[in-house]
Amino acid sequence: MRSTQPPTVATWLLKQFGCSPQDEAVLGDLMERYRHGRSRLWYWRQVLIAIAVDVSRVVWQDKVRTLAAGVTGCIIFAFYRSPSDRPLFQSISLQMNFASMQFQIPPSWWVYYGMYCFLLSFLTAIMGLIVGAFSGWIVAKFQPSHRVPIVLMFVAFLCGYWLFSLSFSIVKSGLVGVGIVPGHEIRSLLFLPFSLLPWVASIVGIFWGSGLLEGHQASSGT
Amino acid sequence: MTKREQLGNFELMVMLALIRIGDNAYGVPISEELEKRTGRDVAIGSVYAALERLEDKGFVTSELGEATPERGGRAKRYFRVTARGLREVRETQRALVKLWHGLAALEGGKA
Repeated sequence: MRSTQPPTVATWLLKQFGCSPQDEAVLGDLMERYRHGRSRLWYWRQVLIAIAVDVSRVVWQDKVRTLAAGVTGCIIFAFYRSPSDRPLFQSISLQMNFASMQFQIPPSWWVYYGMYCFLLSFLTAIMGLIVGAFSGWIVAKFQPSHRVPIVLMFVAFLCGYWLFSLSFSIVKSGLVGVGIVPGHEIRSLLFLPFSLLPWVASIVGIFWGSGLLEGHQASSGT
Repeated sequence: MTKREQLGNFELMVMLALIRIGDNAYGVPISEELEKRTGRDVAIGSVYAALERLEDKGFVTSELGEATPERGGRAKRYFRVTARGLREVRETQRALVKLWHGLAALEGGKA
């Protein structure tokens, strides 16, 4: 039997990232229609559209400041690059992964190597968290009353830049550019969580630093 | 010449739904009315964004209603068309009818 409670995560997302004073009424309407038979998928779709509409409305009203905030945040991240000419945050563990496979580390060493990669990835993640928190804090300062849409746009800028960097790397070097070693595809994929951790930590850092993880009151349009 | 606030396409549809519903116009009946009349799925977030713009233009007013357990204890927001809003809808209708009139390509549902 279908639960009478709408998806909790979706509700939390709208409460957290919605920035219209009408969001409480929107949530009430969504719950009412959900209880009258609408699907969970419908509820999710409605929540995502409501957030997108809220964000685009505020961003459109404050284009210049949003752009300035996004560019400033990206500049802060651009200073934090991995040592070689690789995409931002393609972590050192990927490069070590590649190096180890080139030199064919003996299988008995793989446990130690895994631990080493985990440590490296953990340290990179901590750095990502700190850089993310700092950039999130700066970006939120651009327009404290509209920090939610501005920070969400910054995260969208950054994800766009990361995707562009990854695509560029793949075009330039093939799958090796993202750490997938030919002949060792499965083993390479095992390192994926190590590579993703710093990226995720950076995003969490941005939300944390900008204060978006705390409860907030819708502030725009009032 | 002062700039006249005009109605967008979706805003006009929301205004017509509001006029049709009358006193009990809040998010749920408005979106249901739009879905019923247009045959398309409507995002409640977009309806509220349009209502907010209409309120800024002075075409609708809103007030908080009662909170019900069915809505998780959240209050309804009721909307009502103002006299100015009604006048604007009539103006838009007049303009559209004039534009429509005499268009052979659109007569008889051919286009």
